[in-house]
Amino acid sequence: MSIFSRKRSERRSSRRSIRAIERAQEVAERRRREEERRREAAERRRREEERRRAAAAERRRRRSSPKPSVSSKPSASPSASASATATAGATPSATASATQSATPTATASESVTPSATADPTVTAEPTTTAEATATAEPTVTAEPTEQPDPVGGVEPVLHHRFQSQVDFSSDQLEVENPVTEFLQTPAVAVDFDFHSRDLVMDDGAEFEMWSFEDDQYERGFPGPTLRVQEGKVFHATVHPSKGPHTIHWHGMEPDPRNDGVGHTSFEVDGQYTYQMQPEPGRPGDPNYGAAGTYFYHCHVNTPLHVQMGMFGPLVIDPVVHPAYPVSPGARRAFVDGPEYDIDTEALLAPYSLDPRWHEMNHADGLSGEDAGLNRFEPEHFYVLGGELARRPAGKEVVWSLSSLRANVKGGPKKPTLLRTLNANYLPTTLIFTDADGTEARIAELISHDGRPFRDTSVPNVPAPSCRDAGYPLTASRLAYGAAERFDMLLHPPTAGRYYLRVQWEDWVTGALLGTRTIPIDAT
Amino acid sequence: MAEQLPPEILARGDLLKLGAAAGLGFAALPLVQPSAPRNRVARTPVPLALAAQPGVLDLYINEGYLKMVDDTLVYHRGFGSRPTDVDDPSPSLTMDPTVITVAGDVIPSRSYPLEAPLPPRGTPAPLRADAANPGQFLIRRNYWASYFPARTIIAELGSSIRLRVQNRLGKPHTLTVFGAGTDGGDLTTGPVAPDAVATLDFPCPRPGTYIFADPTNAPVERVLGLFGVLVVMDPEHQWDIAEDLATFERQWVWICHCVESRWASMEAAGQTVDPVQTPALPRYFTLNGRSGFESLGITFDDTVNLATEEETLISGYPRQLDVRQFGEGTEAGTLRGGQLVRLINPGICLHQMHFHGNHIWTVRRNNIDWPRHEGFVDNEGHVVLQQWEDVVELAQMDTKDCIIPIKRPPDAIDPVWFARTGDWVYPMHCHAEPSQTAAGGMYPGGLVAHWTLKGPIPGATP
Repeated sequence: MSIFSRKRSERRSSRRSIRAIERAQEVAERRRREEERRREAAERRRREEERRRAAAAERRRRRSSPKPSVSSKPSASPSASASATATAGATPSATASATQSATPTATASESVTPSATADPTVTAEPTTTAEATATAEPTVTAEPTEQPDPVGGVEPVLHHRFQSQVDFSSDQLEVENPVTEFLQTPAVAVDFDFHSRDLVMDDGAEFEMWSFEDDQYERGFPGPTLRVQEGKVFHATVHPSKGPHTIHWHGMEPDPRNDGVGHTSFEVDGQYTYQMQPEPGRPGDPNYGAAGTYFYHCHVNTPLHVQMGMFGPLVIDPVVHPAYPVSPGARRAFVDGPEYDIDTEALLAPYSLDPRWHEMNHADGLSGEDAGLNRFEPEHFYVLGGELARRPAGKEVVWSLSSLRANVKGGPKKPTLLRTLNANYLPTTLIFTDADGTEARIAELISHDGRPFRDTSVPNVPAPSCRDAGYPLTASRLAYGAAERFDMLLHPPTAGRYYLRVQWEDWVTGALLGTRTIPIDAT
Repeated sequence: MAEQLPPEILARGDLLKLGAAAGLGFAALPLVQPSAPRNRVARTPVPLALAAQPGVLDLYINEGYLKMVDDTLVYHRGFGSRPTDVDDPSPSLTMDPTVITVAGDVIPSRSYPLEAPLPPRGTPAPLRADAANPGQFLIRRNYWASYFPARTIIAELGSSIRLRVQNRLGKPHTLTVFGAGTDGGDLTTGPVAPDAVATLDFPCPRPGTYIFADPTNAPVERVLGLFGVLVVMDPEHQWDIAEDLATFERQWVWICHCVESRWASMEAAGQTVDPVQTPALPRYFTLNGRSGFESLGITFDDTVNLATEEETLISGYPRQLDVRQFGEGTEAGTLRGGQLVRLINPGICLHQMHFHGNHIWTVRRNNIDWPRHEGFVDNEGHVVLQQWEDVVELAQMDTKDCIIPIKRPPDAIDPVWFARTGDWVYPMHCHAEPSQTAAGGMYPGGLVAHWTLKGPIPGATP
């Protein structure tokens, strides 16, 4: 379909007409390839689903103490089929009514703007898979390597209106291969595939986990560790399967297309390359700089997908400023921040797990059925992470933290940096104690959510870090909740054993739900 | 697993079967609840409306049914602006926003300052393009009014607040303003008997954000909807959080809450919920009384959409600012600052308010200013220092005041930023993810909003 009028077409030069024909042929060929790929993908998903169901049945049979008793699976849920009947109006609108049919069905939109059209060939998944319609306007299906005209190239997100919440939930914009606008040459580029595997956690329990994988961390959990320096263009290409996914770069702040949220941009069916450039820090300036600890996660049916494990750590390292050189074996936490010891730098990510949720499917709850996703009742409590320099690679590895090392205060080494990421839905408290269990103020908090703590009391002059301003934020405990990150230096006063106790609390009553204790050996 | 609903909760399907979805079918409500017990807590005959008195704000403790985002009707109680009964098709369960001036006037108003121009669709227009910073704008200082949501009282410092509360229900209820006493203590009517009227007079506390609620059988009555917010402004500093504190372009009141349907149905049936015996399992999560697509302003009801944009959906034009000082801009009449968001949690869940697109700068908690110098970590393990956050912890009954800078998203690449032609929209949601659901699913159907970084203005010149 062309949205251009004949007159406008006739005004085009013959050279452009030839190009248009060639382009149409390219588009047609690409569509054929895409359809073939989708058929193969559908067949692959069908086989995967059969295998998964068989594995789940087997797992249920053999699961016993200490594994949890698994709540019964949600009753056969209606499929997430959206029978879209968008009208051709000046206002792009996609009205959809959820149906109880087993097979997604949809009719094509005649809207003048890009719209999602359900793919009738995909029936294996209980979700609606969609591709963007090709139009003469720059669209999300344009050749990924081309630079689209940004005018009109952005999907009209949130300009749609919906009749009901279930329409909204089940009719997010899905795009096969969205275009990365103004694609740059990246300094760092990674490719992430979706994976789904039964993984054995450090308490011996086994659960179906979903996460991201690359060549180094195959089918592991959490997703691969990413490390990018400020100022460098970063690319991450996601290849979803088992339905659409996105990657949200939590705490990073790119444009909306690269923010990875379905209802403010798009969900990805085929692949998409996220692009961003972490803002460089400036010494003494509290308004600039991205260095710190972040994470990435899927933002589709987020309560379920994140709980299933679709997240991973992201560290942004600072630019090196001439006034703040770095010693051998050390790094700075932010551009004018303290140096820390690379060798013992560690990540600690509290995570709790509700076994009932790990029996669910990709789109559970989206069609309006009560999937119980307001009811998170964790039975297992994990501390993920470890020393960043020593994350074990390989297949089906769960990165679990069992102990920490820390450099003694005043010793020859720079202090240890502990990065903590709350990958949890519950309020959590970290408590440092000495060997006798007495709380020990050995943590110095230096950053929160990727931003340093600074003294900002005097306008128009440099804002030093709190430690440089003379009041390091030392603590024996840290209270924080879902998705927060803190960076802290550890300053054990003497060599020996310390402990870090992690406490999970109920989000309504505050009652203690779980505890883990991690030994810290100070040398 | 599907949750078994008590019979007093009308499921969406029931409504559709009755063909009552459009009008909500309130009038027919008793007809579709044959199992509803007779010992309802409503009074018959109910008292009439109170005779208005100058300088007095009347609140009515009412009950009724509210439509959730999935069209389910759930029993609620609330402080309303007019007397209504349980079967009222449009029950008054939230009070209309009202301004109490230093001159002693009680003025129904969705906006403050009263004389300031209203921002179109809630978005303050800038003064002009910023010549020094292409793509950004100079922001008007001390100019635009702010819209406020239902359940908000805006009181000017120096005023006397006189609340008159009529209890129209069958059990005693109380109105308590937390932390508003001269010594920081609570102010309360004490128990107000059925049909009785109580008056609570008190001098306006210092500028800040205060929660009022019914502490009876805490937190049950609050969860049922008996809560509201008192915002105190200094009439001499109408665009400052308080004198010598952050100046803002406009402000937003965000009231977080959740709905416990089982508790509601038990109370509707005349029982008294024991929150220990029946632990809370919130089923709906609201921001300024709306959830999901209604909170995002993308319904087919233009009135609801507009109100949501004006009251909830933060929006503004990109600007240059410095967190070291939110005040006078580079020239007179301009602001070097962002917009104020008052995060308020009268609910029972600990929320984790995550902003995409911009970190936000937290300046105070529970009306206690966080320092910019000599911060510390308190005994609970919270950092007490003004700071950037992309996730703001919002505990039950807490308030936090934050400045959203409305600035260029820092990690967007230059070519994309400079090629913008339209608005950039970023989500805000609670990251305690069960709050993102409605009726056990329908993501994103819970406590969610977004904020808009407005696009270029064609022809805008410095």
